[in-house]
Amino acid sequence: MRQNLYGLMAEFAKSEELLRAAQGAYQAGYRKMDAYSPSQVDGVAEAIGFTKTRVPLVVLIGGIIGAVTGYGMQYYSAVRDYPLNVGGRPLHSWPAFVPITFEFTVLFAAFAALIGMLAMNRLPNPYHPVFNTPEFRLASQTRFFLCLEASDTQFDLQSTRHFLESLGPLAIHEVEL
Amino acid sequence: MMDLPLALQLNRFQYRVLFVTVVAAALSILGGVFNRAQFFESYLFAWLFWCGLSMGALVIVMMQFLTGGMWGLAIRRLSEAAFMALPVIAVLFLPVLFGMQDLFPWSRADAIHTHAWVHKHAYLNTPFFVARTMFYFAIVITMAVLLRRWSRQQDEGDVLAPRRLRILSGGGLILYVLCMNFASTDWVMSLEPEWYSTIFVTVFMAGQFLAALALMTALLAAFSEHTSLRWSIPAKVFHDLGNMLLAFVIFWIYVSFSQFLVIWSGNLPKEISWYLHRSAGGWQWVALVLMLSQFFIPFALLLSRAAKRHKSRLAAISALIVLANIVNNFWLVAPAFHPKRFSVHWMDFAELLALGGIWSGAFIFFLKRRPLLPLSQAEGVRDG
Repeated sequence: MRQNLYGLMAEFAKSEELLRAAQGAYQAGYRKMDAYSPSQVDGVAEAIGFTKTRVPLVVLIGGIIGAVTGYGMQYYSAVRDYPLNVGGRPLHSWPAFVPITFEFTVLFAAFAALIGMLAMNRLPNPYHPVFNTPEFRLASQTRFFLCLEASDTQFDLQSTRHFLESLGPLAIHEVEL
Repeated sequence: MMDLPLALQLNRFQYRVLFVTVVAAALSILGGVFNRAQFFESYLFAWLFWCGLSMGALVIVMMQFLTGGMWGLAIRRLSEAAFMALPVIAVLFLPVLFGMQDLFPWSRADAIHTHAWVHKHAYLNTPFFVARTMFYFAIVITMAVLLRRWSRQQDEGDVLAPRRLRILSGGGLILYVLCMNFASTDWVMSLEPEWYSTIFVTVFMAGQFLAALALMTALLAAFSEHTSLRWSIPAKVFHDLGNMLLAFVIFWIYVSFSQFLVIWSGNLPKEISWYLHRSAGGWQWVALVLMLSQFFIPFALLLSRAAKRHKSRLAAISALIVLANIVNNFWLVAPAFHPKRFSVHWMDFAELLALGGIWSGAFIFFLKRRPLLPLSQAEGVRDG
Protein backbone atom coordinates (compact mmCIF):
# COMPACT_ATOMS: atom_id res chain seq x y z
CA MET A 1 0.00 0.00 0.00
CA ARG A 2 1.25 3.43 -0.87
CA GLN A 3 2.54 5.48 2.01
CA ASN A 4 1.56 8.92 0.80
CA LEU A 5 -2.10 8.25 0.04
CA TYR A 6 -4.78 10.16 1.93
CA GLY A 7 -7.68 8.45 0.25
CA LEU A 8 -9.74 7.86 -2.85
CA MET A 9 -12.16 10.49 -4.00
CA ALA A 10 -15.17 9.95 -6.23
CA GLU A 11 -16.62 12.83 -8.16
CA PHE A 12 -20.37 13.11 -8.80
CA ALA A 13 -22.52 15.47 -10.85
CA LYS A 14 -25.65 15.35 -8.71
CA SER A 15 -26.39 15.63 -5.03
CA GLU A 16 -28.62 12.53 -5.10
CA GLU A 17 -25.70 10.49 -6.44
CA LEU A 18 -23.53 11.72 -3.61
CA LEU A 19 -26.20 10.83 -1.08
CA ARG A 20 -26.63 7.36 -2.54
CA ALA A 21 -22.85 6.84 -2.71
CA ALA A 22 -22.42 7.92 0.90
CA GLN A 23 -25.15 5.56 2.04
CA GLY A 24 -23.62 2.75 -0.02
CA ALA A 25 -20.15 3.34 1.40
CA TYR A 26 -21.45 3.34 4.96
CA GLN A 27 -23.34 0.13 4.28
CA ALA A 28 -20.22 -1.43 2.80
CA GLY A 29 -18.53 -0.83 6.15
CA TYR A 30 -16.51 2.31 5.48
CA ARG A 31 -16.44 4.72 8.41
CA LYS A 32 -13.62 7.19 7.76
CA MET A 33 -15.00 9.27 4.97
CA ASP A 34 -16.16 12.74 4.22
CA ALA A 35 -18.54 14.27 1.72
CA TYR A 36 -17.95 17.62 0.03
CA SER A 37 -20.59 19.63 -1.78
CA PRO A 38 -21.13 23.20 -3.02
CA SER A 39 -24.43 23.42 -1.14
CA GLN A 40 -26.07 21.64 1.75
CA VAL A 41 -27.34 18.17 0.90
CA ASP A 42 -30.05 16.90 3.21
CA GLY A 43 -29.23 13.57 4.76
CA VAL A 44 -25.55 13.32 3.80
CA ALA A 45 -24.34 14.04 7.33
CA GLU A 46 -26.43 11.16 8.65
CA ALA A 47 -25.40 8.95 5.72
CA ILE A 48 -21.68 9.17 6.55
CA GLY A 49 -22.42 8.36 10.17
CA PHE A 50 -22.37 11.88 11.59
CA THR A 51 -25.53 11.57 13.64
CA LYS A 52 -24.49 13.09 16.91
CA THR A 53 -22.76 16.36 17.58
CA ARG A 54 -21.29 17.27 20.94
CA VAL A 55 -21.67 21.01 20.40
CA PRO A 56 -24.90 21.20 22.50
CA LEU A 57 -23.09 19.60 25.44
CA VAL A 58 -20.25 22.12 25.15
CA VAL A 59 -22.81 24.95 25.01
CA LEU A 60 -24.54 23.62 28.12
CA ILE A 61 -21.26 23.41 30.02
CA GLY A 62 -20.33 26.90 28.80
CA GLY A 63 -23.68 28.24 30.00
CA ILE A 64 -23.33 26.67 33.42
CA ILE A 65 -19.79 28.01 33.82
CA GLY A 66 -21.11 31.43 32.75
CA ALA A 67 -23.93 31.37 35.29
CA VAL A 68 -21.62 30.33 38.13
CA THR A 69 -18.99 32.91 37.11
CA GLY A 70 -21.55 35.72 36.77
CA TYR A 71 -23.23 35.02 40.07
CA GLY A 72 -19.96 34.29 41.86
CA MET A 73 -18.37 37.48 40.63
CA GLN A 74 -21.24 39.58 41.96
CA TYR A 75 -21.46 37.66 45.21
CA TYR A 76 -17.74 38.05 45.82
CA SER A 77 -17.66 41.77 45.07
CA ALA A 78 -20.92 42.72 46.82
CA VAL A 79 -20.74 40.47 49.86
CA ARG A 80 -17.05 39.63 50.47
CA ASP A 81 -14.70 42.06 48.86
CA TYR A 82 -16.49 45.39 49.09
CA PRO A 83 -19.70 45.21 51.16
CA LEU A 84 -21.79 48.28 50.51
CA ASN A 85 -25.17 49.14 51.99
CA VAL A 86 -27.49 49.95 49.08
CA GLY A 87 -30.86 51.27 50.22
CA GLY A 88 -30.81 49.08 53.32
CA ARG A 89 -31.03 45.90 51.28
CA PRO A 90 -29.21 42.75 52.31
CA LEU A 91 -25.68 42.46 50.94
CA HIS A 92 -26.63 39.22 49.25
CA SER A 93 -29.55 40.66 47.22
CA TRP A 94 -30.02 37.85 44.73
CA PRO A 95 -32.71 39.50 42.56
CA ALA A 96 -30.25 42.21 41.59
CA PHE A 97 -27.70 39.55 40.58
CA VAL A 98 -30.01 37.74 38.17
CA PRO A 99 -29.73 39.97 35.05
CA ILE A 100 -25.91 39.83 35.06
CA THR A 101 -25.99 36.11 35.74
CA PHE A 102 -28.34 35.69 32.79
CA GLU A 103 -26.14 37.76 30.49
CA PHE A 104 -23.03 35.82 31.53
CA THR A 105 -24.84 32.56 30.84
CA VAL A 106 -25.74 33.70 27.34
CA LEU A 107 -22.28 35.14 26.67
CA PHE A 108 -20.36 32.06 27.82
CA ALA A 109 -22.77 29.72 26.04
CA ALA A 110 -22.34 31.67 22.80
CA PHE A 111 -18.55 31.62 23.09
CA ALA A 112 -18.64 27.92 23.92
CA ALA A 113 -20.77 27.32 20.81
CA LEU A 114 -18.39 29.23 18.55
CA ILE A 115 -15.13 27.90 19.99
CA GLY A 116 -16.51 24.39 20.48
CA MET A 117 -17.73 24.25 16.89
CA LEU A 118 -14.38 25.47 15.52
CA ALA A 119 -12.38 23.11 17.74
CA MET A 120 -14.45 20.04 16.86
CA ASN A 121 -14.18 20.88 13.16
CA ARG A 122 -10.41 21.30 13.70
CA LEU A 123 -10.62 24.82 12.36
CA PRO A 124 -8.79 26.91 11.41
CA ASN A 125 -7.00 24.32 9.31
CA PRO A 126 -4.37 25.75 6.93
CA TYR A 127 -3.60 22.42 5.23
CA HIS A 128 -5.91 19.65 4.08
CA PRO A 129 -4.86 16.88 1.66
CA VAL A 130 -8.05 17.01 -0.41
CA PHE A 131 -6.83 20.26 -1.96
CA ASN A 132 -3.94 18.34 -3.54
CA THR A 133 -6.43 17.12 -6.11
CA PRO A 134 -6.81 19.84 -8.74
CA GLU A 135 -10.39 18.85 -9.58
CA PHE A 136 -11.43 19.40 -5.98
CA ARG A 137 -11.84 23.14 -6.58
CA LEU A 138 -15.16 22.19 -8.27
CA ALA A 139 -16.46 21.16 -4.83
CA SER A 140 -17.34 24.79 -4.28
CA GLN A 141 -18.94 25.14 -7.72
CA THR A 142 -20.73 22.29 -9.44
CA ARG A 143 -19.43 18.93 -8.29
CA PHE A 144 -20.09 16.60 -5.35
CA PHE A 145 -17.26 14.56 -3.83
CA LEU A 146 -17.07 11.56 -1.56
CA CYS A 147 -13.64 10.79 -0.13
CA LEU A 148 -12.93 7.41 1.46
CA GLU A 149 -9.86 7.79 3.62
CA ALA A 150 -6.90 5.42 3.55
CA SER A 151 -6.77 5.23 7.33
CA ASP A 152 -10.01 3.25 7.32
CA THR A 153 -9.43 -0.42 8.20
CA GLN A 154 -11.58 -1.46 5.23
CA PHE A 155 -9.48 0.59 2.84
CA ASP A 156 -7.62 -1.20 0.10
CA LEU A 157 -6.52 0.66 -3.01
CA GLN A 158 -7.77 -1.99 -5.42
CA SER A 159 -11.02 -3.09 -3.86
CA THR A 160 -11.98 0.41 -2.74
CA ARG A 161 -11.44 1.71 -6.24
CA HIS A 162 -13.63 -1.12 -7.53
CA PHE A 163 -16.28 -0.25 -5.01
CA LEU A 164 -16.27 3.44 -5.94
CA GLU A 165 -16.50 2.57 -9.62
CA SER A 166 -19.62 0.56 -8.89
CA LEU A 167 -21.25 3.76 -7.65
CA GLY A 168 -21.01 5.30 -11.10
CA PRO A 169 -18.95 8.45 -10.49
CA LEU A 170 -17.73 10.87 -13.16
CA ALA A 171 -14.16 10.21 -12.07
CA ILE A 172 -12.07 8.78 -9.25
CA HIS A 173 -9.08 10.68 -7.93
CA GLU A 174 -6.23 9.52 -5.74
CA VAL A 175 -5.73 12.06 -3.02
CA GLU A 176 -2.11 12.44 -1.92
CA LEU A 177 -0.98 13.40 1.53
CA MET B 1 -66.40 14.87 10.02
CA MET B 2 -63.55 13.01 11.66
CA ASP B 3 -63.03 9.28 11.25
CA LEU B 4 -65.53 7.09 13.02
CA PRO B 5 -63.53 5.07 15.60
CA LEU B 6 -62.01 8.24 17.00
CA ALA B 7 -65.39 9.98 17.10
CA LEU B 8 -66.79 7.02 19.04
CA GLN B 9 -63.90 7.16 21.48
CA LEU B 10 -64.57 10.85 21.99
CA ASN B 11 -68.30 10.18 22.48
CA ARG B 12 -67.53 7.76 25.29
CA PHE B 13 -65.15 10.28 26.81
CA GLN B 14 -67.84 12.95 26.58
CA TYR B 15 -70.24 10.90 28.72
CA ARG B 16 -67.65 10.55 31.43
CA VAL B 17 -66.92 14.28 31.23
CA LEU B 18 -70.63 15.03 31.46
CA PHE B 19 -70.92 12.94 34.61
CA VAL B 20 -67.94 14.65 36.28
CA THR B 21 -69.25 18.07 35.25
CA VAL B 22 -72.70 17.50 36.69
CA VAL B 23 -71.35 16.18 39.98
CA ALA B 24 -68.74 18.95 40.30
CA ALA B 25 -71.22 21.67 39.38
CA ALA B 26 -73.83 20.37 41.84
CA LEU B 27 -71.27 20.24 44.64
CA SER B 28 -70.01 23.73 43.76
CA ILE B 29 -73.49 25.23 43.82
CA LEU B 30 -74.22 23.50 47.10
CA GLY B 31 -70.96 24.85 48.50
CA GLY B 32 -71.85 28.29 47.15
CA VAL B 33 -75.06 28.31 49.18
CA PHE B 34 -73.03 28.01 52.37
CA ASN B 35 -69.99 30.02 51.38
CA ARG B 36 -70.92 32.62 48.82
CA ALA B 37 -67.61 34.52 48.78
CA GLN B 38 -65.51 31.37 48.36
CA PHE B 39 -67.75 30.22 45.51
CA PHE B 40 -67.01 33.33 43.48
CA GLU B 41 -63.32 33.37 44.38
CA SER B 42 -62.91 29.80 43.16
CA TYR B 43 -65.06 30.57 40.16
CA LEU B 44 -62.94 33.48 38.94
CA PHE B 45 -59.73 31.46 39.26
CA ALA B 46 -61.20 28.47 37.41
CA TRP B 47 -62.75 30.64 34.74
CA LEU B 48 -59.47 32.47 34.09
CA PHE B 49 -57.64 29.19 33.54
CA TRP B 50 -60.09 27.84 30.95
CA CYS B 51 -60.49 31.25 29.36
CA GLY B 52 -56.70 31.41 28.97
CA LEU B 53 -56.60 28.12 27.07
CA SER B 54 -59.09 29.41 24.50
CA MET B 55 -57.38 32.78 24.16
CA GLY B 56 -53.98 31.15 23.80
CA ALA B 57 -55.35 28.83 21.13
CA LEU B 58 -56.63 31.84 19.21
CA VAL B 59 -53.12 33.31 19.27
CA ILE B 60 -51.56 30.03 18.13
CA VAL B 61 -53.80 29.87 15.07
CA MET B 62 -53.37 33.52 14.11
CA MET B 63 -49.61 33.31 14.57
CA GLN B 64 -49.44 30.23 12.40
CA PHE B 65 -51.43 31.84 9.61
CA LEU B 66 -48.82 34.60 9.56
CA THR B 67 -45.71 32.45 9.82
CA GLY B 68 -46.70 29.12 8.27
CA GLY B 69 -45.03 25.86 9.25
CA MET B 70 -45.94 22.24 9.76
CA TRP B 71 -46.06 22.55 13.56
CA GLY B 72 -49.07 24.85 13.39
CA LEU B 73 -50.80 22.90 10.67
CA ALA B 74 -50.62 19.83 12.90
CA ILE B 75 -52.31 21.53 15.85
CA ARG B 76 -54.61 23.88 13.93
CA ARG B 77 -57.78 21.81 14.24
CA LEU B 78 -57.17 21.22 17.93
CA SER B 79 -56.57 24.93 18.49
CA GLU B 80 -59.64 25.86 16.44
CA ALA B 81 -61.81 23.64 18.59
CA ALA B 82 -60.27 25.26 21.67
CA PHE B 83 -60.93 28.84 20.59
CA MET B 84 -64.44 27.97 19.42
CA ALA B 85 -65.17 27.49 23.12
CA LEU B 86 -64.89 31.27 23.52
CA PRO B 87 -68.66 31.93 23.26
CA VAL B 88 -69.13 29.39 26.07
CA ILE B 89 -66.39 31.12 28.07
CA ALA B 90 -68.18 34.44 27.53
CA VAL B 91 -71.48 33.03 28.82
CA LEU B 92 -69.66 31.50 31.77
CA PHE B 93 -68.52 34.99 32.74
CA LEU B 94 -72.11 35.87 33.73
CA PRO B 95 -71.91 34.37 37.25
CA VAL B 96 -68.96 36.67 37.98
CA LEU B 97 -71.34 39.60 37.58
CA PHE B 98 -73.40 38.30 40.50
CA GLY B 99 -70.30 38.15 42.63
CA MET B 100 -68.84 41.53 41.73
CA GLN B 101 -68.96 42.83 45.28
CA ASP B 102 -67.47 39.64 46.67
CA LEU B 103 -64.58 39.76 44.22
CA PHE B 104 -63.75 43.36 43.36
CA PRO B 105 -63.22 45.75 46.28
CA TRP B 106 -63.77 48.79 44.04
CA SER B 107 -67.32 47.69 43.22
CA ARG B 108 -68.47 47.79 46.86
CA ALA B 109 -70.69 50.63 47.97
CA ASP B 110 -68.07 52.11 50.31
CA ALA B 111 -65.31 52.03 47.70
CA ILE B 112 -66.02 55.56 46.55
CA HIS B 113 -64.90 56.78 49.97
CA THR B 114 -61.56 55.00 49.86
CA HIS B 115 -59.16 57.80 49.23
CA ALA B 116 -56.63 55.93 47.14
CA TRP B 117 -59.26 54.65 44.70
CA VAL B 118 -61.33 57.80 44.13
CA HIS B 119 -59.54 58.80 40.94
CA LYS B 120 -59.77 55.22 39.64
CA HIS B 121 -63.54 55.24 39.87
CA ALA B 122 -63.95 56.69 36.39
CA TYR B 123 -62.54 53.44 35.02
CA LEU B 124 -63.30 50.94 37.75
CA ASN B 125 -67.08 51.02 38.01
CA THR B 126 -69.46 48.15 37.41
CA PRO B 127 -71.35 49.32 34.29
CA PHE B 128 -68.15 50.23 32.46
CA PHE B 129 -66.52 46.97 33.61
CA VAL B 130 -69.39 44.92 32.19
CA ALA B 131 -69.44 46.89 28.94
CA ARG B 132 -65.69 46.39 28.51
CA THR B 133 -65.85 42.66 29.06
CA MET B 134 -68.68 42.39 26.53
CA PHE B 135 -66.55 44.39 24.13
CA TYR B 136 -63.49 42.10 24.52
CA PHE B 137 -65.60 39.04 23.88
CA ALA B 138 -67.38 40.61 20.91
CA ILE B 139 -63.97 41.12 19.31
CA VAL B 140 -62.36 37.77 20.08
CA ILE B 141 -65.50 35.78 19.24
CA THR B 142 -65.85 37.57 15.90
CA MET B 143 -62.24 36.75 15.09
CA ALA B 144 -62.72 33.14 16.20
CA VAL B 145 -65.80 32.60 14.06
CA LEU B 146 -64.21 34.21 10.99
CA LEU B 147 -60.99 32.20 11.38
CA ARG B 148 -62.96 29.01 11.66
CA ARG B 149 -65.13 29.78 8.64
CA TRP B 150 -62.34 30.99 6.38
CA SER B 151 -60.11 28.11 7.41
CA ARG B 152 -62.83 25.76 6.11
CA GLN B 153 -63.11 27.72 2.89
CA GLN B 154 -59.34 27.44 2.46
CA ASP B 155 -59.61 23.68 2.84
CA GLU B 156 -62.31 23.62 0.22
CA GLY B 157 -59.94 25.28 -2.21
CA ASP B 158 -60.94 28.94 -2.01
CA VAL B 159 -57.84 30.63 -3.45
CA LEU B 160 -58.60 33.97 -1.80
CA ALA B 161 -59.01 32.51 1.69
CA PRO B 162 -55.29 32.40 2.64
CA ARG B 163 -54.96 36.12 2.02
CA ARG B 164 -58.08 36.92 4.05
CA LEU B 165 -56.80 34.72 6.86
CA ARG B 166 -53.42 36.45 6.92
CA ILE B 167 -54.96 39.93 7.02
CA LEU B 168 -57.36 38.91 9.79
CA SER B 169 -54.53 37.27 11.75
CA GLY B 170 -52.25 40.29 11.48
CA GLY B 171 -54.88 42.73 12.67
CA GLY B 172 -56.33 40.18 15.06
CA LEU B 173 -53.13 39.72 17.00
CA ILE B 174 -52.96 43.47 17.61
CA LEU B 175 -56.61 43.56 18.70
CA TYR B 176 -56.01 40.59 20.97
CA VAL B 177 -53.11 42.32 22.72
CA LEU B 178 -55.14 45.51 23.16
CA CYS B 179 -58.08 43.54 24.55
CA MET B 180 -55.89 41.58 26.95
CA ASN B 181 -54.20 44.75 28.11
CA PHE B 182 -57.49 45.95 29.50
CA ALA B 183 -58.91 42.51 30.31
CA SER B 184 -55.95 41.56 32.49
CA THR B 185 -56.37 44.88 34.29
CA ASP B 186 -60.08 44.30 34.82
CA TRP B 187 -60.18 40.61 35.64
CA VAL B 188 -57.00 40.18 37.67
CA MET B 189 -55.17 43.39 38.51
CA SER B 190 -58.25 45.22 39.78
CA LEU B 191 -58.72 42.55 42.47
CA GLU B 192 -56.16 44.67 44.31
CA PRO B 193 -57.02 48.14 42.96
CA GLU B 194 -54.16 49.94 44.70
CA TRP B 195 -51.61 47.93 42.72
CA TYR B 196 -50.67 48.24 39.08
CA SER B 197 -47.96 46.99 36.77
CA THR B 198 -47.70 47.86 33.10
CA ILE B 199 -45.90 44.63 32.21
CA PHE B 200 -48.57 42.49 33.85
CA VAL B 201 -50.46 42.03 30.59
CA THR B 202 -47.38 40.38 29.08
CA VAL B 203 -47.09 37.98 31.99
CA PHE B 204 -50.81 37.27 31.60
CA MET B 205 -50.59 36.63 27.83
CA ALA B 206 -47.42 34.53 28.16
CA GLY B 207 -49.33 32.30 30.59
CA GLN B 208 -52.27 31.95 28.22
CA PHE B 209 -50.11 31.11 25.23
CA LEU B 210 -47.92 28.68 27.18
CA ALA B 211 -50.91 26.79 28.58
CA ALA B 212 -52.64 26.55 25.21
CA LEU B 213 -49.49 25.46 23.37
CA ALA B 214 -48.72 22.84 26.03
CA LEU B 215 -52.25 21.46 25.93
CA MET B 216 -52.28 21.30 22.13
CA THR B 217 -48.90 19.54 22.11
CA ALA B 218 -50.03 17.01 24.69
CA LEU B 219 -53.27 16.37 22.79
CA LEU B 220 -51.48 16.02 19.45
CA ALA B 221 -49.13 13.47 20.98
CA ALA B 222 -52.03 11.63 22.58
CA PHE B 223 -54.10 11.63 19.40
CA SER B 224 -51.29 10.39 17.19
CA GLU B 225 -50.24 7.75 19.70
CA HIS B 226 -53.37 6.31 21.24
CA THR B 227 -56.11 6.67 18.69
CA SER B 228 -57.01 5.08 15.43
CA LEU B 229 -55.38 7.80 13.37
CA ARG B 230 -54.01 6.61 10.10
CA TRP B 231 -51.54 9.43 9.70
CA SER B 232 -48.45 9.91 11.75
CA ILE B 233 -46.90 13.18 12.78
CA PRO B 234 -43.18 13.47 11.94
CA ALA B 235 -40.82 13.79 14.89
CA LYS B 236 -39.75 17.17 13.54
CA VAL B 237 -43.18 18.65 14.34
CA PHE B 238 -42.83 17.59 17.96
CA HIS B 239 -39.28 18.92 17.97
CA ASP B 240 -40.58 22.31 16.78
CA LEU B 241 -43.40 22.34 19.33
CA GLY B 242 -40.93 21.40 22.05
CA ASN B 243 -38.64 24.25 21.01
CA MET B 244 -41.58 26.67 21.11
CA LEU B 245 -42.51 25.44 24.58
CA LEU B 246 -38.91 25.91 25.68
CA ALA B 247 -38.87 29.44 24.29
CA PHE B 248 -42.12 30.31 26.02
CA VAL B 249 -41.29 28.94 29.47
CA ILE B 250 -38.20 31.15 29.21
CA PHE B 251 -40.30 34.08 28.00
CA TRP B 252 -42.76 33.61 30.86
CA ILE B 253 -40.08 33.63 33.55
CA TYR B 254 -38.32 36.50 31.78
CA VAL B 255 -41.32 38.84 31.90
CA SER B 256 -42.42 37.60 35.32
CA PHE B 257 -38.99 38.28 36.74
CA SER B 258 -38.80 41.65 34.94
CA GLN B 259 -41.94 42.73 36.78
CA PHE B 260 -40.61 41.43 40.08
CA LEU B 261 -37.15 43.00 39.71
CA VAL B 262 -38.49 46.47 38.96
CA ILE B 263 -40.92 46.38 41.88
CA TRP B 264 -38.34 44.86 44.22
CA SER B 265 -35.79 47.54 43.28
CA GLY B 266 -38.30 50.38 43.70
CA ASN B 267 -39.47 48.97 47.04
CA LEU B 268 -42.52 51.27 47.22
CA PRO B 269 -45.30 50.29 49.65
CA LYS B 270 -48.22 50.24 47.21
CA GLU B 271 -46.21 48.33 44.60
CA ILE B 272 -44.69 45.65 46.83
CA SER B 273 -48.02 44.83 48.52
CA TRP B 274 -48.90 42.53 45.61
CA TYR B 275 -45.73 40.50 46.12
CA LEU B 276 -46.02 40.58 49.91
CA HIS B 277 -49.45 38.98 49.60
CA ARG B 278 -47.95 36.32 47.37
CA SER B 279 -44.74 35.54 49.21
CA ALA B 280 -45.79 35.15 52.83
CA GLY B 281 -48.14 33.12 55.00
CA GLY B 282 -47.62 29.96 52.94
CA TRP B 283 -48.04 31.55 49.52
CA GLN B 284 -44.24 31.49 49.08
CA TRP B 285 -44.46 27.71 48.69
CA VAL B 286 -47.05 28.11 45.95
CA ALA B 287 -44.69 30.56 44.26
CA LEU B 288 -41.86 28.06 44.58
CA VAL B 289 -43.95 25.24 43.11
CA LEU B 290 -44.95 27.57 40.29
CA MET B 291 -41.35 28.55 39.51
CA LEU B 292 -40.26 24.91 39.53
CA SER B 293 -43.16 23.54 37.53
CA GLN B 294 -43.60 26.31 34.99
CA PHE B 295 -39.94 27.13 34.49
CA PHE B 296 -37.08 25.15 36.03
CA ILE B 297 -38.32 21.60 35.48
CA PRO B 298 -39.74 22.03 31.94
CA PHE B 299 -36.72 24.17 31.02
CA ALA B 300 -34.24 21.51 32.09
CA LEU B 301 -36.22 18.70 30.44
CA LEU B 302 -36.83 20.57 27.19
CA LEU B 303 -33.10 21.18 26.70
CA SER B 304 -32.84 17.58 25.60
CA ARG B 305 -33.28 17.06 21.89
CA ALA B 306 -34.32 13.46 22.46
CA ALA B 307 -37.11 14.47 24.83
CA LYS B 308 -38.53 16.92 22.31
CA ARG B 309 -38.64 14.30 19.56
CA HIS B 310 -40.14 11.63 21.80
CA LYS B 311 -43.94 11.84 21.73
CA SER B 312 -44.88 10.54 25.13
CA ARG B 313 -42.02 12.29 26.94
CA LEU B 314 -42.94 15.61 25.33
CA ALA B 315 -46.59 14.96 26.20
CA ALA B 316 -45.63 14.44 29.84
CA ILE B 317 -43.67 17.70 29.93
CA SER B 318 -46.59 19.49 28.26
CA ALA B 319 -49.04 18.08 30.78
CA LEU B 320 -46.78 19.35 33.56
CA ILE B 321 -46.89 22.85 32.04
CA VAL B 322 -50.70 22.77 31.79
CA LEU B 323 -50.95 21.77 35.46
CA ALA B 324 -48.40 24.45 36.37
CA ASN B 325 -50.60 26.97 34.62
CA ILE B 326 -53.46 26.10 36.98
CA VAL B 327 -51.11 26.91 39.86
CA ASN B 328 -50.13 30.07 37.98
CA ASN B 329 -53.72 31.30 37.81
CA PHE B 330 -54.33 30.32 41.42
CA TRP B 331 -51.25 32.23 42.58
CA LEU B 332 -52.31 35.32 40.61
CA VAL B 333 -55.88 35.37 41.92
CA ALA B 334 -56.31 33.61 45.27
CA PRO B 335 -53.83 35.67 47.38
CA ALA B 336 -55.93 38.76 46.58
CA PHE B 337 -58.70 37.25 48.72
CA HIS B 338 -56.50 35.64 51.36
CA PRO B 339 -53.46 37.93 51.59
CA LYS B 340 -52.46 36.88 55.09
CA ARG B 341 -52.49 33.12 54.91
CA PHE B 342 -52.40 30.39 52.29
CA SER B 343 -55.87 29.08 51.61
CA VAL B 344 -57.12 26.45 49.24
CA HIS B 345 -60.73 25.30 49.27
CA TRP B 346 -62.34 22.14 47.91
CA MET B 347 -64.50 24.39 45.75
CA ASP B 348 -61.33 25.51 43.91
CA PHE B 349 -61.02 21.98 42.60
CA ALA B 350 -64.73 21.36 42.12
CA GLU B 351 -65.28 24.50 40.07
CA LEU B 352 -62.10 23.91 38.07
CA LEU B 353 -63.54 20.51 37.13
CA ALA B 354 -67.04 21.84 36.49
CA LEU B 355 -65.89 24.61 34.18
CA GLY B 356 -63.35 22.26 32.63
CA GLY B 357 -66.12 19.82 31.85
CA ILE B 358 -68.15 22.46 30.09
CA TRP B 359 -65.09 23.69 28.22
CA SER B 360 -64.14 20.16 27.18
CA GLY B 361 -67.69 19.56 26.01
CA ALA B 362 -67.50 22.54 23.69
CA PHE B 363 -63.98 21.55 22.62
CA ILE B 364 -64.94 18.00 21.70
CA PHE B 365 -68.14 19.20 20.02
CA PHE B 366 -66.14 21.37 17.61
CA LEU B 367 -63.31 18.85 17.27
CA LYS B 368 -65.66 16.17 16.00
CA ARG B 369 -67.09 18.35 13.26
CA ARG B 370 -63.98 18.37 11.07
CA PRO B 371 -61.08 16.08 10.13
CA LEU B 372 -58.24 16.33 12.60
CA LEU B 373 -55.78 17.60 10.02
CA PRO B 374 -56.45 20.48 7.65
CA LEU B 375 -55.93 19.06 4.20
CA SER B 376 -55.35 22.25 2.35
CA GLN B 377 -53.69 21.71 -1.00
CA ALA B 378 -52.45 25.25 -1.23
CA GLU B 379 -50.63 24.98 2.07
CA GLY B 380 -49.46 21.47 1.42
CA VAL B 381 -47.48 22.89 -1.48
CA ARG B 382 -46.23 25.88 0.46
CA ASP B 383 -45.05 23.86 3.43
CA GLY B 384 -43.51 21.13 1.32
